[in-house]
Amino acid sequence: MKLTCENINVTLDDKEIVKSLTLHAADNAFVGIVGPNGCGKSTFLKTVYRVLKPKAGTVFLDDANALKMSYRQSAQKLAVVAQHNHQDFDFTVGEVVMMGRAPHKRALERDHAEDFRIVNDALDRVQMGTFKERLFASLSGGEQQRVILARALAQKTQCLILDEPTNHLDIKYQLQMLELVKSMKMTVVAAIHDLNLAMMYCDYVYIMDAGRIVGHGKPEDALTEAMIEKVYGVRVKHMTDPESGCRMLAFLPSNKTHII
Amino acid sequence: MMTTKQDKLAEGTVHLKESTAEENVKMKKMRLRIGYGLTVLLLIVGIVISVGLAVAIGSTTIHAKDVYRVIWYECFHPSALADYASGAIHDVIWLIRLPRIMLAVAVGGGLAICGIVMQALVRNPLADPYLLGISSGASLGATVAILLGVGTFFGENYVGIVAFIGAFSASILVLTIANTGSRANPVKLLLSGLAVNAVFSSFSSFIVYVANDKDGIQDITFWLMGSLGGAKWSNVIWIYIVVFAGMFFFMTQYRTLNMMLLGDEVGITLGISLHAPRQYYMIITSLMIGFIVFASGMIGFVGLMMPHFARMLFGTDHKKNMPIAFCFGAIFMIWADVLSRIVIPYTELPIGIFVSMFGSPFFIYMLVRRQYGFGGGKS
Repeated sequence: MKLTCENINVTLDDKEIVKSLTLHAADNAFVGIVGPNGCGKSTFLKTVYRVLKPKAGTVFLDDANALKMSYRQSAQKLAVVAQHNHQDFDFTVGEVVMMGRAPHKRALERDHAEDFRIVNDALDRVQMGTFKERLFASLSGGEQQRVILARALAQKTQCLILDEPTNHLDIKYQLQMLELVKSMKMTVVAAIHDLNLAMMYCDYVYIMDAGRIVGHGKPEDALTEAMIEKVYGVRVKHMTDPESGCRMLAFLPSNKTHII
Repeated sequence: MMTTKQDKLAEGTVHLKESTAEENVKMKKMRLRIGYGLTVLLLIVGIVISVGLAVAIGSTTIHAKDVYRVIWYECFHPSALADYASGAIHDVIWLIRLPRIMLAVAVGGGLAICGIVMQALVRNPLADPYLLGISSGASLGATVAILLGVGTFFGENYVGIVAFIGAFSASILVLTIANTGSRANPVKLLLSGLAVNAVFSSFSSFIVYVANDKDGIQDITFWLMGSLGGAKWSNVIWIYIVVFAGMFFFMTQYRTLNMMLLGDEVGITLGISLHAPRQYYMIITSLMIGFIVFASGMIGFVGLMMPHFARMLFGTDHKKNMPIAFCFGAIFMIWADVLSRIVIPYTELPIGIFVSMFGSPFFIYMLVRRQYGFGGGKS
């Protein structure tokens, strides 16, 4: 499923947070959004998943205007793993993931065997299959985040929004989660904090600064040393691991902070 | 040598950890799986037995067997039980005691359901059904009716009717205030509830002060303490219709109620906007509570405690915990009523006093120990 955002403008408390933002995500592409804290990534993603209403602009899922759909319809096409999920309720992991089936349910519809199969499958895919009966609140931050990913998978959507999904995770699970998401046939739009992870997993990146897109392209083309220095204000060097051929960024201490 | 020892030690710890984790899972499983259906069935049987016993207990003791026979006769009119069609025993059971006990079932169960819904609505485990202005609205209604004689044309139970009007209009006012300016959210609902409570209680106090009517004040006090004494079949039927209609409605809404605990944003990503349901759930609960107040005055703590007991057994999933809470509420209320009738011979304690006596210590326990959260022992 293609996801297209055209000329999105978002204003919060009379302050323009997102300015005329246009973004395309091709079918099954992994598109990353990078940018410094407060540049408007989350605000933009929230308009895509409809928690915020844009002042102007539209979001298309294939050719349908997502902002005109019912929430139920858009939740059948678009799943979300958001930034913070600390919740202190007493749901079990299985119950949390089962909520991912809600967009496919009518008020009086029961949970069928098929729903339980989908839930189990989603939990297995994030390697949380044995945690089904545990209480969500008793899990670590990283485990909770994986359960939320399982819930998103249980929604069986073709499009997935990740809003800094790897925030609480160990590096192992960061890689695992992004690998898993990438291996699935889904269109993914992800706000990613770690530029190296963006380099590794994104098919395409958009660089955001102060509410605007300031650059986009394939990660190795878009995330240039000059661009990163301009947007983040840090010195950085492109390197290639001679053995694996992996591209990576090395951050350098700035000249000014010379320790005496 | 050293390495092997350490290895063994490490192995041991790993083993230990694994087994506790397993046990943990097992315990959680037990909590959830010990036959849910069986539990509901047992609780329903519990209600039926409690009703029989509660009717039998009283100033004249009646055989529980007779109780069921009279009920059976009144329901199906079999000729074999024609002996039970009239007489003193029949009248005591069918006209005096049973309506009261049946009212206890509906009031207890209804309060528990409203408590669960209200706690989900404001995402606060310490919420109770009277929270959003309803209690002070009802008291103001009762005060106005008793001291100023407003609404006497409603007939015999005019105090209850005016209290109902007070309760319902208070919650509508809360909803309106919470929606003014920006959309209502749990915090705004709570704060508007507090504000409306303050306004309404000050009006009650004002009227009490100005009227300076000692008998009237005593009447109000008694009325506010709650009683099931006024039960008559003609009232009870209506309470049943409202409480059961409300309960079945909320049973169909369990997915939305679950999502209310996760918040508005998650709700939208899972396909449900919670704004509209929050409004009409509140109107429906205040209708239910209004009817309950009309029939029995103010009975506190049942609506707060029963949801917590239900959650302790079967967790937060509203599909499971609403029927359990209803049954708990019903059984609790039946026995609270029995105790309030027999603790002091020939005197009836207001049931509200009784319930609060048990309720407040539990509330404090919950507050200071572990249940501040939706039962998830962590927070």
